[in-house]
Amino acid sequence: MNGVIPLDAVLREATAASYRDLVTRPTGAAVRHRLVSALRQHDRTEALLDFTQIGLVDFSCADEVVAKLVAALHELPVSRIVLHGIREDHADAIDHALTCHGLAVLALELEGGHPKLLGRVPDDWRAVFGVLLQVRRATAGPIADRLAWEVPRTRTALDGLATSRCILAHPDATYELGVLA
Amino acid sequence: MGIAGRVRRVAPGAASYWAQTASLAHAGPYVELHGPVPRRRADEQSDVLLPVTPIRDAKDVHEVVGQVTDRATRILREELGLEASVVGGFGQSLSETCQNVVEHAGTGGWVAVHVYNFRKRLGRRVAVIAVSDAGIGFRRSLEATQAKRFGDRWSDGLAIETALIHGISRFRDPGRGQGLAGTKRYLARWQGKITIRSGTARVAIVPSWDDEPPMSEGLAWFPGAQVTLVIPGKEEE
Repeated sequence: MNGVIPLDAVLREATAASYRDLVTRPTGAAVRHRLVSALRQHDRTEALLDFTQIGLVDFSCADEVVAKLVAALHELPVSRIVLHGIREDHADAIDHALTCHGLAVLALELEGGHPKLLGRVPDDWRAVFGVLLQVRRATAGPIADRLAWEVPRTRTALDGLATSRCILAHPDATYELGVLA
Repeated sequence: MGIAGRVRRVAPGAASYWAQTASLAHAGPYVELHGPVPRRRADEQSDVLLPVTPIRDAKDVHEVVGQVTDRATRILREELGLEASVVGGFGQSLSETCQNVVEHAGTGGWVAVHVYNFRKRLGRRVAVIAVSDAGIGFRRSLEATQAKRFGDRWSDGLAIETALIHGISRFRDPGRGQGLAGTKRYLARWQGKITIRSGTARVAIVPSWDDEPPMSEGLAWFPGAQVTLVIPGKEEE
């Protein structure tokens, strides 16, 4: 089971105002606290944070809402969070905030829903992610073949992405982006 | 029009400009104005994207960002030829610069956003964000955590440089300092310029089209801080 959380509604609840921009640290902290409460009720699910109706996201708010939430994910019952409806300027702010913390997240672009990685993402992670986008679900072997890499190098990159919760690792040794993507 | 204090007379053009930018509307508590004071006409078309607006708390930052977005987006896109992503970064930089007042100044401040024509220096129109406060300034803000490292060399210039160039904030949280860092990254990408004036110093990150010195010291005392961002319009083909 998956949950979609509209951030515009969370923003309005957290500030008791009709804002549509995710700006300032106090606002970001208030939104994050609301999100943590909501995510505690999403046991073992993937949560989709929906930015579609959000106007501006500044660097400080991206740090408070996304980076600190991703950093605290291991304390929550959700399997992972995915960002949805991300514009180019949203991506810039979020990427910057995550990179400062050495974190990464999977995001779906506003135009077309194309999946992309934001944050500190090593080149090997980007390469295997690019192949996974084409094959959808696979073990490390076929992905290594496509990249002309050794399997251990491929598996290390895939495990890195899975540990960061950007992709899903299954018990049958396959990897995939997941149903949200 | 005249102002009580050190400035005795103001040129009519300057008074009219100050009225247009709403500076005079906020001047009352701080200066004594004499003679006829020009008023800002509500229907006046100008290059003022945001008149002088007070910043006291996070709510004001939300209001400024919300207020400037629609009109600024149109002008930045249509008149300066900037793409959507540049306009988004403009709003982010505006927000972060205003937040510096709330988080560091220890008092309120003001923000204004104008479009100018930098005909000689750049041959293009530019958008300028100016944020000013009369608070504690960069030196005092960073003194408790940074002054020891520099000993006798600690100065207004070093304090600004520590924050602007090295991205150091007085907060220990690793996420802090990202606002200024993100703003710098945005300006670097679009050949923009940032200048910070505080105490007796001014430090700038200067793009290739400008020749201002990166650091000026020994200037007249300026309480608080003034941060100026310049975002150039698109080069005409």
